[in-house]
Amino acid sequence: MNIETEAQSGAVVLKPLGRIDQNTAVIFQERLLAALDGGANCAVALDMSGVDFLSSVGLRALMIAHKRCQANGAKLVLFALTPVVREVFSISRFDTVLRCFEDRDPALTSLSV
Amino acid sequence: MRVKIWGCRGSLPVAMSTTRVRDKLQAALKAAAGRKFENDAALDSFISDELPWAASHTFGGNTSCVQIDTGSPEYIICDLGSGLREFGVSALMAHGPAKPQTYNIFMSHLHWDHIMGFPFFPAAYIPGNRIRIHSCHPDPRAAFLRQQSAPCFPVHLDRLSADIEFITMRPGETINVAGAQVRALLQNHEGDSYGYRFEKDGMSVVYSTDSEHKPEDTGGAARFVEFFRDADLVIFDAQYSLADSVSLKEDWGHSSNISAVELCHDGHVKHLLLFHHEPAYDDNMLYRIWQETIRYEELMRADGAPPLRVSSSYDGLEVHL
Repeated sequence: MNIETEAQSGAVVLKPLGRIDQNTAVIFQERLLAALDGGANCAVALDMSGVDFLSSVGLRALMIAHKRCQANGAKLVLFALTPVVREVFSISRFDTVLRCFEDRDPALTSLSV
Repeated sequence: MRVKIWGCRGSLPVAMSTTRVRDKLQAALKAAAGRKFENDAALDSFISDELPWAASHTFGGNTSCVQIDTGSPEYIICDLGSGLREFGVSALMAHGPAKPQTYNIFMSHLHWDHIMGFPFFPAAYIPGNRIRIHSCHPDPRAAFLRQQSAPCFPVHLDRLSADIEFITMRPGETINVAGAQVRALLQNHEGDSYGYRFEKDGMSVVYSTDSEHKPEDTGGAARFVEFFRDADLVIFDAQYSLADSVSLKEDWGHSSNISAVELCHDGHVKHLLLFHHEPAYDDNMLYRIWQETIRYEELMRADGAPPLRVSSSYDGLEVHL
């Protein structure tokens, strides 16, 4: 899986491209957890505009990342969810646990607060 | 095999409030506005075919009690929640008090909502009935004794007239009961719980409630996928949303519709039955969760894979396999 990385305003923007499923979730999870490893100093914004499908294993990776943030104080936000991913988030109620934004700017602003 | 849900509610029995009854009446009357019905059959068709599900049904409020009918004259019952009372009355009506029956009970665990129906089980008070309570816990009788001792209940456990036997099962061991092969699996729940797989004549039903599936426990998931493998029906604890199960309600011992679909897909299960409904949810919310689960299954289904049928338990539901 191709994951673009960009440092922006004290945060890291990760942009995974394609499907996050059985074949790609391991790489996605590794990259995401590595970005969150520094604890309270870490702020990660996931640009989801290039993710056209998120399976249960992808949700699991996000759950584990969310728990890592709770444990070490790192921050994680998401923005630009595609319609299918938005639907999966709604069904799993993950949109009530993870902070999701429509656009990049408010997502990054939330991390700087 | 036939499965009947006598109680599908998690944690605590609930009763429908007057407000909710009025909501249903309003929905029905609005839908029927201006309509004329020639007879009761036409009215019945309207209720069945045209009313919104949550207006014409209720999921019900009894706690866990599920009958597995193998065709044997002996009964199989999973858990003794408050739904047991209605089952007991039904069995009494079917046979009368003078014809002793054998009731094989399988206990997921001994928490209150899973044993609270037993003091109201008519068969327990009738001499000649055999009640065989299977459990993987070391001393299940202690829980029943505590429940039927002063000051909790006026009738002491020892005063029940039926022949009551406690049988210890071991997870992984297969036993034959009422014509079915039964196997248990340890589950993640406070004080432990156990799922049961019932097989007869090539058909299989799994009863798996009060079981938490943690996202990081891939080894645990593999055990359940194997336990569920090719089952015709899996009755699954989907009390919480996935988000709740990993945040506020983590370690509360229950699971989600998302985990249900994932494990059932991986195990090539044919039919998933959502169970152990959250007592705080009304019929509209439970119906929404059911429909969302159907949609989620559709989204997650692998290309070319057969669909996993998704149903939601309600008190009185019968599933024929």
